[in-house]
Amino acid sequence: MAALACGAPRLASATVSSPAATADTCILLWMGGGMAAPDTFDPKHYEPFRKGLAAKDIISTFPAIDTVVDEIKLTQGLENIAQVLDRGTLIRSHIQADLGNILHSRHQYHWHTGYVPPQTVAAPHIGAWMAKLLGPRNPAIPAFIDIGQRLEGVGEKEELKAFHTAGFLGTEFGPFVLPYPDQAIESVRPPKGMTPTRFKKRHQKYRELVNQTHKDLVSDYQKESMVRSMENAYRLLSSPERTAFDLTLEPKDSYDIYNTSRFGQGCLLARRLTEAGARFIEVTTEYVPFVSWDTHENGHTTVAKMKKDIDQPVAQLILDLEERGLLDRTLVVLASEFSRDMMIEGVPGSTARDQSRAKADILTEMKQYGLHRHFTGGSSVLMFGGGIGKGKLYGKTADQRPCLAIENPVSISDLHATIFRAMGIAPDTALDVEQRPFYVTEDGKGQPVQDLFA
Amino acid sequence: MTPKQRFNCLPNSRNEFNRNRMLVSLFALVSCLTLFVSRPANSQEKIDFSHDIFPILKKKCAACHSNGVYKGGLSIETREQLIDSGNISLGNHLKSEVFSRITSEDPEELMPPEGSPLSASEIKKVATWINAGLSWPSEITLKKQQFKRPLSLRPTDLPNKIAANDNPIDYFIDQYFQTEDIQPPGLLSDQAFLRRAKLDLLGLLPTPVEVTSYQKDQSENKQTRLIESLLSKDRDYADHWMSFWNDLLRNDYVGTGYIDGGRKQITQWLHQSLLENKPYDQFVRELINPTADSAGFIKGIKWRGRVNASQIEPLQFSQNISQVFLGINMKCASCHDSFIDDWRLEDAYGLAAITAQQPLKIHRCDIPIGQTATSKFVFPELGNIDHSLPREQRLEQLSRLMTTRENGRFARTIVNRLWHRMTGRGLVHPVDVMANESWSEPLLDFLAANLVENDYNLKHTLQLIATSKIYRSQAKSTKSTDANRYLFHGVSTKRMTAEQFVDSVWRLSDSAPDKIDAKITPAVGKKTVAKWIWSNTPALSSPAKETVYFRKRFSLESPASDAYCIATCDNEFTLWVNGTRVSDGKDWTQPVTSNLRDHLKIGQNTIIIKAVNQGSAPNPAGLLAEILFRSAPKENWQIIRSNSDWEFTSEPITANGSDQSGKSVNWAAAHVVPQGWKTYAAVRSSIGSAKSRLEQSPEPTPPVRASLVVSNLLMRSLGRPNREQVVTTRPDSLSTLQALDLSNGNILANWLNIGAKKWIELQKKNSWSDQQLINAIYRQSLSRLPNTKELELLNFSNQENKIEAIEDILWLIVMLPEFQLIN
Repeated sequence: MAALACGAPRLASATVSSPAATADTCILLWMGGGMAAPDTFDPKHYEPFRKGLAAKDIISTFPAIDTVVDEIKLTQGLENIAQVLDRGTLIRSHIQADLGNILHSRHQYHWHTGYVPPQTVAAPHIGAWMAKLLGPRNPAIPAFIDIGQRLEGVGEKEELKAFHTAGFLGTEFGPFVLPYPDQAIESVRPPKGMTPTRFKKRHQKYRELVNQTHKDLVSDYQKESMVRSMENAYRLLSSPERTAFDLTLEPKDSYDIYNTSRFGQGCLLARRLTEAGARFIEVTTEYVPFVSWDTHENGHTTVAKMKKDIDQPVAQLILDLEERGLLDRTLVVLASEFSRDMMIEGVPGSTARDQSRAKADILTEMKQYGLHRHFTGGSSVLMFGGGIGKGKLYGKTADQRPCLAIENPVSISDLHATIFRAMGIAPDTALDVEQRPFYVTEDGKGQPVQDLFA
Repeated sequence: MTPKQRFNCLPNSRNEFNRNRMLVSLFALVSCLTLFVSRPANSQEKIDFSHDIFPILKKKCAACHSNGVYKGGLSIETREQLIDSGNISLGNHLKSEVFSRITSEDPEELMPPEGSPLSASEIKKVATWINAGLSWPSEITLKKQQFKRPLSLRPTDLPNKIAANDNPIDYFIDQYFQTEDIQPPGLLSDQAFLRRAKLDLLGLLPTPVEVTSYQKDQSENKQTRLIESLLSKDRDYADHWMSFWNDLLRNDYVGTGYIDGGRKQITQWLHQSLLENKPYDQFVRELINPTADSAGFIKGIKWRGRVNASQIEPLQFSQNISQVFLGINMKCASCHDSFIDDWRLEDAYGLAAITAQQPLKIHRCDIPIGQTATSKFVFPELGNIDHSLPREQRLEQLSRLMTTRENGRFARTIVNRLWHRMTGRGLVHPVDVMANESWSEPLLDFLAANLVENDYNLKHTLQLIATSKIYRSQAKSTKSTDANRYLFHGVSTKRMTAEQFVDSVWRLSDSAPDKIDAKITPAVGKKTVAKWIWSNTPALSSPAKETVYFRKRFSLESPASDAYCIATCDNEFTLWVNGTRVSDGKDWTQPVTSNLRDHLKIGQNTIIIKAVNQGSAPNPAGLLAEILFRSAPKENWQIIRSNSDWEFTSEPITANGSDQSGKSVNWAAAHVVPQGWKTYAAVRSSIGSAKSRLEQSPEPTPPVRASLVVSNLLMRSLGRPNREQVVTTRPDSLSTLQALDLSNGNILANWLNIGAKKWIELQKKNSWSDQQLINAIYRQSLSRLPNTKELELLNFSNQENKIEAIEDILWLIVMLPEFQLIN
């Protein structure tokens, strides 16, 4: 990589020490495609579907429901999460940059790296920063695990690859990609069809064979470095911890609760990996253009299904982590690249092109009912555990359209700073690349939102 | 630029990150990519040294207190110096002399003594800065860069006395070793040298036949002949160097921007240019001032939606041409005057303005400063760009300035990149910071000048490097010893790139895919690339009826079973082989095929072709020729094509190549006719068809190369980059995640499975014993035979499942450091 002109990037010069960590593990639950806040965690005025309904009158397409926290309402379909809100904080004022035309992959790049593409050097995913700065929590579990997103065979795959990377930090810190949670075990066991005995023998032979190579043929230093990585890989592939990747070992009752979807299975896998010692895990509902949260039409129906996919597993993940005594030191963040609105594309005044596929001022059919436009002025984020306040609500959006964040707006930089702060990383930590500092939050300017902490 | 070296390799620290070392910067330094920043109103005011303080120091203090001028004995080049001066009381601005002086009401005391005093807001910043602990990153200093080399190439003191056969590189290296008291490394074995050279030049492992015949070769200059023969394999060469240039020029077969026309491939142009070994100056002129086929590079990537001002296409242009062709980092200066070197915002925009279609508003850190950029080249001493001209003409001017012989930086940058690729480390390092001092400035300038003298022939530079003694010597560990000063001890061990590894595995296992993804026309690989050559007389000043003699000498190890020469001259020619007149040609549009077999001999052969131009106007005589020969009817043809390796003389000579009195005449390198002599192109293709008529069996299509297919997850994992940014260096060590993909990934496992079946078949076909099979695998993969212990370890006679056994053997071998490292 250009950045690796010579050796590893170094920490830029420094004067203060890192903050004390309140979390050891971070789980990012990613709602890829733009999760509509008014239809999920930020209920507004609700109008049930009927022919002749004016689009401008609709803000939410689901009624509000009560939660275990008096002041917080969610939308119908999130009943399980409603019951665990006393364990975390709901942010309703997360805002994103206006990047002109809305392109999911650009906004996702921005959210995952903290930097707006394009960049002159390849920016690292926040998980890669954690892998680099904190290292694995357990050497047998990769430090940065990415669950649920295919990088081949889906639309915008090149754009997705652009931020599923450690960028200039080097491949060592890149994501361990597990697109299918129920097949995760295959990524950490000997190749298909290879018995453990054969695998073990192969490695033993490898060790012996390496030592046969004549000294003149390969230098010691380089040889050692290679063999060390091979040993690490072998350790991972034969460690007892790798059973954590095997969902078939989960008791059926528990498995069934999670088994709503690939995302649900991903939550289960994330829990098991957290128990085994993971550092950073992203579980995604998977971004595929026009699928899942990317509701350009038929929004209401699709979102109802999406909520079904996430509600039970997310709530169970929190309960399981709590029951195992892990929640206090595990930061769980649920977020999306932006929200959605029935009328506005981007934010008021944006030049973004309207991309709704079911345009109608007056509704005539069900597929027009839903939030089909991309909205960057106010979205919801859930945070649990890892030192985050419990039962709290932070920030506010306007009740009337445009539903902009009107209280305590939280930018991507500041949200990242909060996450890094919880993980014990100062938001202005920088590494040198091409002789200049590159910061974990944009230009080192992210500010942790102190009020989010307990 | 700081005086200390900023990129000290820390190869050991990658895996064992020590949290205690995690010191964190107090203030935000720039990378100025901010589009949107929001923060709580109550956040504490921060002082950003780079943005807030550095400009004040530079403007108000530096002239009198840095770089040799230390008025009042005060030097403030670094934080340490400032503190040591005793003029700062850390944490208390009121007790700091510096603060008193910038706020003094006594004009005698007030600093600066001339010019306007600091503004109130500047004073406040300084106070806050002192109170907050005088934060000042160590890499930023007011001290100007110490080292500065002239732009033009300096003559090197290469003495005349070095023998003709000595490689000049070794002269410089020997001197260096002597001065630094370094023991020169020992020579490589034949097989190791062949392996290194073929991987470096063509990206492929040597075949067992190549290894044996090279080992058996007793001739004195066999290394040189090996390198010549490797570099003559145009298709392999082009395929291999595609990866290097794709990385540098951000070209790929799929990727961001291609779908919606926001980006354009240059694949066909690039591959063709490499096949032809297009002179590098012409290559770059065609990139900067492009045709439709080469336009993709300066077009850049247009992202949908709004982008930061420093990332619009004209600025991408500015950054990329600076980095790729000049080793200049213009990324910082695209946002603000650089803190790490002397490049300024106006320099970055000056380049950008050349290509901008519309007036370009200068932005500092994404905010317009109310000025419009004017075209400007980074080295004004070479000339200017007339901004009033249309864009195409500005680009044309830039392409000339960039590639003018006086632009030493241009030649130095590319020879340094080639040296880096061949030896594992740049003469200047890192390769993108060409302002750094080289560990051997004379060698750097020698190589650069040599490239220029040889008409920017990159293959020539590669050949020069590859035929040096130092390149033929053992590799040294790259582990850095002295952090402050790099010492060259010899070539470094390199790691195979993703493409080299995959190609090697594909060849070992016969598992390459059937088709390439790169859009290059299939005919391209077989197209003849003989070149029209002529004397160095400027075309239009050549005398009418010019007569020129061209000469090519080559060696044969064994009698040729077939040998032909296909040739044509503008307008007439006569061909002699070893003094015997063999044929004539009168019609330059009809190449003549001559049978040479009976005229060739073992050892050195000399072909002389006399070319005569007809016509009354001054006009040069040109030659286009291919010589084909092979030692047995089934062997591949060896081909010698007319190019700048041929020689010419204008003196009248006899058939033996001497003058009438028998004395030897002066021969000089022939010159390749510049492209654009279009009438010649048609004749080239008739040579091609004459040649294919000769070849009873057409050249087999080479197996698909990794560089020409879309990256897969394994190649990605092994470091083949996303080509959205310019990439000039690939990762040099195997990471755990990569090891994991190699240990249990399906992609490699599938290839090895195909390979296992192939080897079992070969065993059957050749009735090999198990040991012979392992020998054969070793010879192909490691270019050597296994030792007794290795044979013992890999003995699979007891194993029932043979496929599995061979799969494991193949895996074991390709996982060996000996396989994956280029030593």
